[in-house]
Formats: sequence, structure tokens, C-alpha cells
Amino acid sequence: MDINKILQSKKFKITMGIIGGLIVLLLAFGIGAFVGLRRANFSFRWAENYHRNFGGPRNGFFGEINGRDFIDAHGVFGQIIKIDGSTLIINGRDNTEKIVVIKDKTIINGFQNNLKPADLKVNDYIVVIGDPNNTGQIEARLIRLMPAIPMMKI
Amino acid sequence: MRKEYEKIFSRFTTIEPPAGLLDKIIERIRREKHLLAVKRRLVFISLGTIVSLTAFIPVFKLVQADINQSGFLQFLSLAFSDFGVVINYWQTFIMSLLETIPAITLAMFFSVILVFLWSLKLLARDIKIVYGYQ
Repeated sequence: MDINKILQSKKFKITMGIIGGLIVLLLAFGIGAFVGLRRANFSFRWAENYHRNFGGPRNGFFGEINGRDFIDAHGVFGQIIKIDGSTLIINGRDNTEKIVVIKDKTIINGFQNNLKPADLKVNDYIVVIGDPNNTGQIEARLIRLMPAIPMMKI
Repeated sequence: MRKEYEKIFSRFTTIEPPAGLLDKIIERIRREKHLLAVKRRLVFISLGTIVSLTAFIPVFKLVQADINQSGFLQFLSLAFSDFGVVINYWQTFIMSLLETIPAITLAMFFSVILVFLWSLKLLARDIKIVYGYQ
């Protein structure tokens, strides 16, 4: 097989075009997310200082989150560290604790079968997708039990 | 005296250059110039290939670390393990993927691949040109 022929072929050009398009898309998304993050950070700081100026706590209501990204709102992957009724506290990436609320319609899947909320145990690893509510919790749509990953850095 | 010389020289047959010699010389000069340009370009392209090949491993490790850290693969795996549910809640699923995708490092990774493939393509073409001339 002639490598030169492959490299000069139309399929190769299309592949290059797809990779190029993907790069543009990812860059646009990354830059958009970065700009959004900066704006959100500014708004957050503005609100913090506003409250502080009118007699709020010294460190603001939200404490210090310098150097940390804003947390993900539509899902979490991590270890259950506490179960309180239908509420799970998950230790997610960067040791961020997130509250996941199990609703009636929440689907909980184990490795082979469907599970009930009572089947979930502390120290289990789960992936959750859901929607954020007004109180900063994630209302779970799907909870999937995952095998423990020893190398995982959360 | 001059007439004698003319007589002597008139006995020689005049040699004309072959037809198209000038064109051949011009063509050869053009080809040599082109070959030189291709060889110079080959140096830069080889450099690009080596740099992109060398950058591949550290950038790959960076992407791997980012993907592991973000949990992107775990969210993506839901598409295979819980396809039906994911279809029902596709908007939430897409949002969870977008929130965890390491976009900039992935863009870097694909850029390295693109530069490598592009330089490989040019390298193959230019090597063919150089060997074609020889």
C-alpha cells in the first residue's frame, strides 16, 4: 500500500478537515467557557463585596474560592460520603462536596439491575446526571453505581 | 591575408547547437531551483514532524490526566450503559458532558495530531519530489 497515495487522498483531506473543525469547535467552546467563567467570577465577586460593604461577614457569604473553577451543575462523579434520607452528599472532583437529591422519578442502576435508594451505601462510587435546583442541589435523573477506581484522583 | 583566413575557415563546417538546447538549460535551471526550495522546505517540515511527534506524548498524558480528573469518561460511559435513560434526558446528559469536557487540552491534542499528519503529508510529497528528480 502506497503511503503517499493515502496521504494525498481525498479521504485523508476530509479527515484533516474534520480534525481541524473539531479543534476550532473545542477552542471556541473553551474560550467561551473561559470568558463565561471570568464574567461569572466577576459577578460573584461584585455580589460578595456588595454584601460585605453592607455589613456581611468579613470573608463574604461564600468564603474563599480563589483558584478553583465553578462547580458543575448537571452532574457529579464521586464517592458517597453521607446519606441522609433521600439526600446524598458526594465528594466530587477537587474534593468538592455536592448534594444530590433523589426524587421519585430518579432511576438508580447498579452493575446489572435496577436499585432502590436504600441500596446505595456510603463509600460507593456513583455517576449522577440531573438538574440543579434553586438551593444549589442536583436533582438526580440517573444514578449509576460505578466500580471503585483506585487510581482515581478526585 | 584576411581573404586567406576566410578561405581556411570556410572549409570548416559550422556546428550549430541542437534545437531546444536553450529551453532545456532554462528548464534544468528551473528544476534545480525548485529542488533547492523543496530541500529547504523539507528541513522545516522534518522539524515540524519531529516537534509534533515529540509533543504527542506529553500532550496525550495531559489530556488523559484532565479526562480522569474531570470524570468525563464516567459521564460518557452512561451513553453505553444506560442508553435509554440518556436518550430521555439527553439535554441533561449533554450539559454534564459539556461541563466536564477538557476542551482546551483536547484542542491542543488534536492540534498536535493535525500538525503531525499535515507535516507527514508534506514530507511524503516532498520526498517523492526529491527522489523523482534524482
